[in-house]
Amino acid sequence: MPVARRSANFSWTRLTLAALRLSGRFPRRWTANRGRSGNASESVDVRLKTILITAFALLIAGCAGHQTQEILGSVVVPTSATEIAGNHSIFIATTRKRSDDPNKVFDGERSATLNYARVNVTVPPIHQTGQIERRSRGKSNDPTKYFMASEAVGYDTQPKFASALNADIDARGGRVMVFVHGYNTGFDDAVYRLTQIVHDSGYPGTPVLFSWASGAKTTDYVYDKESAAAARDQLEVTLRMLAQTGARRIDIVAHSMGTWVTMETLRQLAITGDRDLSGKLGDVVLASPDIDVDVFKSQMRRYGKPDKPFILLLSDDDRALRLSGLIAGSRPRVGDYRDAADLASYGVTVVDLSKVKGADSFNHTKFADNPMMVQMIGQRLREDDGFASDRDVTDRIRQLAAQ
Amino acid sequence: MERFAALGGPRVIVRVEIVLGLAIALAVSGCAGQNAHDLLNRKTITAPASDIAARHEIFVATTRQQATKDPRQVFDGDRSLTTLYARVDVTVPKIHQVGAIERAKGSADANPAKQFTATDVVHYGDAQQFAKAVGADISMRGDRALVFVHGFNNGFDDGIFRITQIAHDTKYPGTPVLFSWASSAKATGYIYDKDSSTAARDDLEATLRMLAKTRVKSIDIIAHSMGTWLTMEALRQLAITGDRDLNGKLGYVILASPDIDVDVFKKQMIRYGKPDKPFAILLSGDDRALKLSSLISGDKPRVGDYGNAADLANYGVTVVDLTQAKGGDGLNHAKFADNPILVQLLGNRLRTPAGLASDEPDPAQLNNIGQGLGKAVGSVAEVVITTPFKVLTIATGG
Repeated sequence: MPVARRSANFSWTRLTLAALRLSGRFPRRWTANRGRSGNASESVDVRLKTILITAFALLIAGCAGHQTQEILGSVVVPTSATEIAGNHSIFIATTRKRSDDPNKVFDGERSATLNYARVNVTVPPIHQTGQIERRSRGKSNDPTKYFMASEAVGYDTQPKFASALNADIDARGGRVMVFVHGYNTGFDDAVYRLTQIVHDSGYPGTPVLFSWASGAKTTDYVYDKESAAAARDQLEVTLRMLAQTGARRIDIVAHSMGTWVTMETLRQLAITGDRDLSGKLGDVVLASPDIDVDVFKSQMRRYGKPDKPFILLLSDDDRALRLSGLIAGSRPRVGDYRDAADLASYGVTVVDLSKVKGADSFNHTKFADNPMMVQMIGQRLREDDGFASDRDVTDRIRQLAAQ
Repeated sequence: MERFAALGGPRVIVRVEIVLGLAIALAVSGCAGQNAHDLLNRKTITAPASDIAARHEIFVATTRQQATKDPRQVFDGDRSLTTLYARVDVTVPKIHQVGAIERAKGSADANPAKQFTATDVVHYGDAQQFAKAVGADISMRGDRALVFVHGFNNGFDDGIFRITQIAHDTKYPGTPVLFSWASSAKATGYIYDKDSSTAARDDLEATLRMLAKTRVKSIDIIAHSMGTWLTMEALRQLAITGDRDLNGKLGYVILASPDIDVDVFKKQMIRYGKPDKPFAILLSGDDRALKLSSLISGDKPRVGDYGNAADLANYGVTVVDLTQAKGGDGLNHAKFADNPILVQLLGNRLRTPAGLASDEPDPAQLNNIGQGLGKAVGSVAEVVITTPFKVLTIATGG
């Protein structure tokens, strides 16, 4: 990472901390006195300040970075297999619109129907576990230095996509991992993140990205939430399609606001009476869930206790979620909730990563950007069916968390 | 340094300005009034019976917590894990003006001779007791129930008084049932409210199913603002269970000023399927509250201020465009209830049970009613109705 970028990071961090400290100066129920307090202008003033701080914090609290948002290099640089560390085929079902800029492939606008694609991504030999080495603006397309998309294929119908997918699933032994990204995530961010997870975890099955239409802007929190809500039926369709392939087992890894889409979809599958995809649903990993705790409980009540407990990864130093909590009325989100036993009673396994180091100051992506964590999760996902090993690996993740 | 260059300077200033604008707008744009949200009086105030126009019994299913800190609020903005049940009796004063809610100022006691007054609250211990009481009332009043689902930034009191005003001004012949979800009743509580309404979906579904098990023949729903999101979610999941019309008992579904993203609404309608009886969407191009929702959700239109009625009608809804009609306040977010002509037109429609009403509003009849009412109130406006089949223009007044 260039030195200049890093120093910029530090400044942003200081600002975030300052913003959080400032917001701490106001009592928890900062507008509770509306209409009753004698001094209306004071309460408006406090509200203004809070909103300003929130806005400021949102400006700098992106879950994703500020790269070019181009998935394909403008020039494809040929590379021989020996020059790269890995080449991964990522299958994609997306509710994003096709971008007018062919290098971006899909953008942040919503499509009325699902679009299907496959993108091949190469991982550079200099890759460090937990990192995504991204090309920044002005740098050359160098697959020996950066994650690079080497090929993008669109499928114009679902049967064509399903048949390509099926061939890949057969070739890889019948396992599928569906990744559902979070808020403020461009198509490129999601493709690279899934590639990194697959690469670092040594996942042997077929990776499928479900990409909903995040605007990829920090100020688009509500737009993103609406896009996520609009994508529920499409995620259900995607999961059902996968269940109809030769896949033996479908694991789901969801992050941040992606856990909201995932829980909604599992909930409605449960309402249809097929909550485990005819027995094919494997692990459900919910990392840093950006879901209101009460909403999550209502979703779990409707789903019922899972046969295989969902795995919740949370961290009470998650700064991105602290912000969501702040704008949601100072209520905890699942991903920074401190009462693990309360959640566990709904049939989930809670893994507290508070003591694990994150790669950035937000601590919102530890599951993937902490090198040990992503490997542990990989190990967990590689374990084949069977409940005997369940406790084992979760215990090991816990031990790591306790170190 | 790239990130500095990209984020520093004018862009930050522009954003800060937007945020400032938002903050000011939020500060002034409550859907509900600036009351203290006290529902009950400190001490009983009596008024001569001749000063009271009517007394309404409002049945309540709520996901709010019982208010312990401010018992006068009865239920507050915190969320309950289970549905709680109650009945609130409200009197309407003789001096009441159609479309208005005459309320006591601040936390003052209400005078029944001048203001809407909650005179009694009954709490039911469980769903069975409530079902029995509401069932008895439904049988007594002629087998119809009206469920009202309030919007964003509403206290428990706001919902109670609004449904009372609607029941009173529309002369609704059945049992009024308020479904009150845990809105924080704060203009800044937008996302808290959205989460509260989402957490209440299963409770609303259970309440509708409970009503359907009584001897009710027709369950009408009026939802307002963010309450339309909750209502559409409950109807959507009823559809997923295969019982989208409550065993044929679902009557009118009226979605007023829907605070739902247009794309999300379309997806909900696709999952629901075209209703047998088109849902009615009441919208207004000058809805200031929804302008704000649009702004914070990335400049995307909300259903309640969407300009393309025909696009919505494709999904099996009837769109009633109230842009030309006057609202009771500067927000134009509750015209359906606070415009005296509109609320009476609504009443004319509601008093015929949905099962007996034709899908196609009769323009001549509506015109007569509208003009009659308009003469009485002295205002002129045009209401444009777009059905899945055609477009009607109704003159109200003149």
